[in-house]
Amino acid sequence: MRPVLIPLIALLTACKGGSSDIDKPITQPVSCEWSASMASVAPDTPVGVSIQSATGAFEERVLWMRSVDVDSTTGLSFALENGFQLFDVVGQDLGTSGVLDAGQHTLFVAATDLVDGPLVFTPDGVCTPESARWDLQARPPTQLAGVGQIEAPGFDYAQALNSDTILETALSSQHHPDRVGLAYDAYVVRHKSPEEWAQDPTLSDVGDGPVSTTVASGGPPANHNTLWSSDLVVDPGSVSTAYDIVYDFDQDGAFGSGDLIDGGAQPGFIAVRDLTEAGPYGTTTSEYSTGFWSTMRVYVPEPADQAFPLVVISHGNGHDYTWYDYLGEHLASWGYVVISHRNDTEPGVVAASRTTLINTEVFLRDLGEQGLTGVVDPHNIIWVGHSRGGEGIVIAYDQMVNGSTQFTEFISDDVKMLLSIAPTNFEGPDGANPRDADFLILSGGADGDVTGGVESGITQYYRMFMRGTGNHYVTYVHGADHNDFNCCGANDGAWGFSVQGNPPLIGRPRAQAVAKSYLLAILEGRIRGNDALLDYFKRGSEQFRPIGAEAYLATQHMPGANTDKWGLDDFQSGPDKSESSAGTTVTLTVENVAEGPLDDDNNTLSALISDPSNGMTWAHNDPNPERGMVFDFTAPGSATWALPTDQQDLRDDAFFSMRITQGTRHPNTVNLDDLLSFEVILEDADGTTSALDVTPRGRIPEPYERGGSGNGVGWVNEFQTVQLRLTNFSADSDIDLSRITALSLSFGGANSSALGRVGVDDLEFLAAPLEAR
Amino acid sequence: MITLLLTAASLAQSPAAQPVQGIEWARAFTLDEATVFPMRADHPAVQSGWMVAIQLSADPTSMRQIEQPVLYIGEWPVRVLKRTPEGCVMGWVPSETLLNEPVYLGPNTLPERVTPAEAAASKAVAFAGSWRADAEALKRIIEANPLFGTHEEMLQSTARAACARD
Repeated sequence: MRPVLIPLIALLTACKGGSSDIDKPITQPVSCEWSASMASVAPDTPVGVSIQSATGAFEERVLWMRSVDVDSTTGLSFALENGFQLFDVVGQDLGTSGVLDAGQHTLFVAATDLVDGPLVFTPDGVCTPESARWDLQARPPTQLAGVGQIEAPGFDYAQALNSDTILETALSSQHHPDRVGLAYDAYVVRHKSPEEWAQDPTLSDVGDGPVSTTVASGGPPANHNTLWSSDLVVDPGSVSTAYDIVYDFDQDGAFGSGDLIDGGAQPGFIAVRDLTEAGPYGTTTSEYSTGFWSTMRVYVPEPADQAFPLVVISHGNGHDYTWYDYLGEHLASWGYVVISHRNDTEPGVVAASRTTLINTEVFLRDLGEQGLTGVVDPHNIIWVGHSRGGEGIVIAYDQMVNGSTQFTEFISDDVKMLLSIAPTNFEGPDGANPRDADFLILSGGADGDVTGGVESGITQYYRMFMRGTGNHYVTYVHGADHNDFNCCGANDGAWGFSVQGNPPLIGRPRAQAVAKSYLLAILEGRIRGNDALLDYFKRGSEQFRPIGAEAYLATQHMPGANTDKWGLDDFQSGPDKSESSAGTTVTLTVENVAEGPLDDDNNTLSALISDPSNGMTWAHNDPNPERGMVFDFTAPGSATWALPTDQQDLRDDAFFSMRITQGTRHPNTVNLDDLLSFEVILEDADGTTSALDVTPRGRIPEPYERGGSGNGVGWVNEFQTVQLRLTNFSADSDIDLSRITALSLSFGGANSSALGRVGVDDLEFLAAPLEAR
Repeated sequence: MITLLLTAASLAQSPAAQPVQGIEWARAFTLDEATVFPMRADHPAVQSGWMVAIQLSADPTSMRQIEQPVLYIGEWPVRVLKRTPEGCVMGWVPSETLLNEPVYLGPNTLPERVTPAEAAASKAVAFAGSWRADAEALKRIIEANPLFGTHEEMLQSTARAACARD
C-alpha cells in the first residue's frame, strides 16, 4: 500500500523569548518538524478500520490493518483507545500509548472490537500542529458481492450466487464515507486464506475486470458495477467455488493494508453449480441383507478413498427400499454412502422407527463383511425418511435421546440431521420430537396421501417442529405429489383434487430435481460446513433457488435455540395484540387482527370469519400451541413494534428474520391472485426511517391453487422466511443502527400489494459471524 | 365395552363393502423361539400361527400413509409382509386356528395401536358378514407340511407365497 501523504504543515516554532529574570532557569525551547498521514485520509476525520480477520502471523494480520506514516524531528507520543492496536513494521505491538523516536516510522492500526476510538499523535515539543488525531471506526468485514436491485438500497449483498448469475458488486458510501472520491480497481479473484494472501498478494481477476472506477457518494446505486457477466466458474467436481472481491485502493495490483476485501478472511461469496448434476464420484450399487427386516440397497462413492458421511433412507408404507435410486445415486456421487432399507411401516410409525435403528446398526456392524471398513464415518449419520418413514426417523432419534433405546454401533450424537419427506404425524408433537437435531421437511402441495391439509392431525406434519430446538428448514413444492419423491408409487396427485382447482402437477423429474438439489444443499451446508448454501432456505425462493429446482416453492429457515438471536415477537406470550412478547408496544393499523394458535379451527379450508387461523397447520391438538398473528389490508396500513430499550443497538445483529404467509382462500388473497409484497421499515431515535422492499428479495408465495377441503381454491398456508440484512437498511440511508426504536411491516402502500391477508410469526433479530453481516 | 363396540361397529366396513374374497393359501408354523407380534399394542410374544395369502377384490390397505382399515383374521391383525397390485396380501397371524375365523377389514387405525379389547370388538362386529373358512375350504388351501423353524425362515416363506390369480 502506497500511502498518499497529506503532510501536515510543519512549522518551526520560534522561541517565545527568554525571561529577563536571570535568577530563573532558562528553558531551552524545542522546535520540530513532523508529519503524519494515513492513506488518503486527512486527520480529524473518521477512518474505517476493518476488524481483524486473520489470526496467524503478522504478515497475514497486517493485510487487514490501516497503515500510518509518521516522520518527526522529535520524539512523538501516541495514544489510542478502545481496543485498537498499533504495530510497527516488524509486528511489535506498541501498546496503547508510548513514545516513538525521532525519524520515519510506518505503523499499522488494527481493530479487534466493533468500537470507535481515537488515535492521537503528539510531538514532544512546541510544534504546529500540536497533535494529529483520527477517529478510528472499527468496521465489520465489508460486503461487496451481491445482486443488483432497482429498489432501495439498490443492492442486496449475498454469500451464495448461482453460477448462472451475473456477478455484481457495490460499495456503500454510507458505510465507507472516508473512501468517497478515491479511485480503485475492483477485482474478482479466487478465494485465498490469509496465509495464502501473505505469500502471494497478487490480484488476478477471473471475471471481466478489473474494473477501474471511483467511489461516489450516493450509496450502492452510485457504486454498482458488473464484475463478471458470463457464467461464474465452478470447479469440476465441486458443489461450489469460493471467490473474493477486492477493491484495490492503491491500484498496485496486490491486496494489502487499506484495501477492501469481501467477507474478511472468509470467502466473499460462493458460486454454486446446478445441484441436480452428478458429483465427481462414481457409484457402486449393491444389495445387503441379514434378514427380512434388515435388507438394504447400498450406494457407495467410487473411488472409496475416505470415510464418507452415512445417509440412511427409510421408505413409507406400501413403498419399497428399491425406489430411491435417484437419491442414493445422486448423494453417493457427491461423497455420501447411502443405504435404503426395507422399512416395517405396516404396524405403524413406531415399528418403522425401530427398523431405521436396526438397519443403521446392522450396516455399521457389518462394514467389514461388506468391504467398507474405513469408508463410512459412523459419527456422521443423516436419516432421511419418506412418509411414515419420515415420522419414524424422528421417533427413532427421540427414543435415542431420551434413552429408551440404545445401540452399540452409534449413539444419538452421531445422528446429525433428520430429513423428512412428506412425513405423517401420528404421534403428535410430543411423540415425534426432533429434539436438538437439525430437521428439514420437504413436501408437495399436490400430495394426495399426506396432504398437509387440515382434515386430520396426521397430515399436519409441521407440528413435529414444535418441540424441537435445532435448526429447522422447509421446502414446500407446488405441484409435487406424495410419490413424486420415489420412483414407483401410485399417482396420488390425481387423488382428491376438485375439478375447480385442477392445479398443474409437476411430475417426478421436476419434483426429484427439487429433492436432489435441496437435500444436497442442506447436507453440504450443515454436514460439510458450506454455510452459504443455507441461503437457499433464507432468501425468498422466488428470487433465489437452486438452478435445477424448476418449481414454485416456499422455503423456511427457523434458527434453533442455540442460535445467537433475540425475539421481538413470537406471540407465545403477551396475548394482548398491542403488546409484543418482548413486552413492547405494538401499533396496528391493518384490519381484522387476531392473535392465537396457528391451528385451523374447523378442519376445512373454507374461509370463514369464525376461523381467523384458516389454513394454519402448526398447532392441531397441541396443548402448548405455536401462536402467531393474522390480519388483512385493503388500504395502506402497518404493524409496528417498538424495540425494547435495551435492544435498540442493532450493530451486533446481522439479520431481521420473520415468517410470513398469505391466508388461503381469504377474499383478499383470492383477489390478489399473486405473490404478495410489502416493506420492512426501521426507525431510529431521531425519526429517520429506512425501508426495504421484499420484492427484489422474494415475495410471499400464493397458496397452491388446489381445491377440495371445503369451498374455494387454495391449499394450506405456506410460510416463507424473510431474512433481511440489517446493513442493507443503512447502506443508502443515514439511519443509525445503534438507536433503532421501531420496526414496521408496511402493507398496501409503496412497494406493497394493494390488498392481502397474511399471517406472521417469529419476528427476531439474528447475530452472525462478522464476515457474514 | 358397550361404547367400544359401538365405536368399532361404526367404523368397521359393512359386510357388503368387504373386499375379502378369501384365503387362498395357508401354512401352519411353529417357531424355535417366541417372537414379538408387532401388530397389536400389547406386543404379545407368539411362537406359532399361520402364514396366509389372502385375495382381496381391491386393496384399500396398500400404499397409503394415513390411518387405514386393518386386515384381521379373527382377533389378530394380519402381519402383512408383501402385497401385489392384483390384491394378493401375504402375511401371518399367531392364530391357533383359521376355522370359521372371520377375515375382514376393521376400523381405520395403525395396527400397533390396536388393543386386545379393540380387536375382540372388531371381530364381534365383523363376524356375521365376513368371509370365513369352513372345513372344506381349509382342506383346499392348507399346505400339508407345517413349517418348524426360525422366525426368519417363516418370514421368507411368507414373502414367497402367492395367490392363484398372480
